Amino acid sequence: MVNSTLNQFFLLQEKRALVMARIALNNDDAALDVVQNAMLKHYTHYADRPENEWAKLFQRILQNCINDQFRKRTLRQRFFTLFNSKEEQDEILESKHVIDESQQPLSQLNEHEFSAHLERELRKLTGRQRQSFLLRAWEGYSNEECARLMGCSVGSVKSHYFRAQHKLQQGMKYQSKEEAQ
Amino acid sequence: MKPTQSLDWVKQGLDHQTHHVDPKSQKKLYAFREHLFNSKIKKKNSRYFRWYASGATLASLVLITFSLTAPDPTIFQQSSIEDIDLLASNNEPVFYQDLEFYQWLESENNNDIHY
Repeated sequence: MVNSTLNQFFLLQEKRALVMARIALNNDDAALDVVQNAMLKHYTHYADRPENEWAKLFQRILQNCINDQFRKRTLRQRFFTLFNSKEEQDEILESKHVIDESQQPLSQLNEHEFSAHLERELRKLTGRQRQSFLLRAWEGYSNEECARLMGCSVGSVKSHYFRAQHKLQQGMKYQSKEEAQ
Repeated sequence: MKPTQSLDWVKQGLDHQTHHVDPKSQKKLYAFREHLFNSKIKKKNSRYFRWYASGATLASLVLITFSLTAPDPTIFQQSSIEDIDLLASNNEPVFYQDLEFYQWLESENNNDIHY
């Protein structure tokens, strides 16, 4: 009985979780690993908790898994950049540059391109800013709930959210100016 | 699509991505869920269970050790009552030095009465 309810819960949550992880990690495989890891942890540790707590618990686990993955990757990247040749480092920089140049005026973007553009803009935010923004603007949590989920103060959530909102709107305004020219 | 103050565009954009997750990832997630619920992965009742168990074992060990090594309480009670009597009485210390003699004398007197 619990298993079927939990299965339904995961079915509802998994795609949103995958999108959130993919935006944060910018890697499909890593995002999939993170979501599966979060589901496994939720199942083994919190399946017997009341159903009304599941969403927040899952979100907390997911955020922690994303942070862990992000830290591991940053550490690995730091380690390997010591051994990368200059040409390889230039290639990495070029690939980032190509992504930035692919931006187009917003009015010309269809729904799919718009969401892809939004994803790029969200990736420009810092981890905390992105977390607070997605939890508040997308998941609809309050400042207090976000603070609990992120493990920081309410003031910190407000500040991160405000900066994220400002940066995103600036990014979109930039697109609108391009559109006017 | 244009940005508005209400940030509905964010929700729309992200919801669009959610509805268009690639089939390969969806398939993998489905397979993982199937594996999770059909395999015998054990649920942990409490994350602190291990700590509770080890704490209880340690406490019982301490209790057993203490009960085995503690001195006999009756011996302690007798000696402590005698000590308190000595301290509380108004008799001279010489009296206690001759106590053995007085006890012997008393027993002799008792024998005489019987004969």
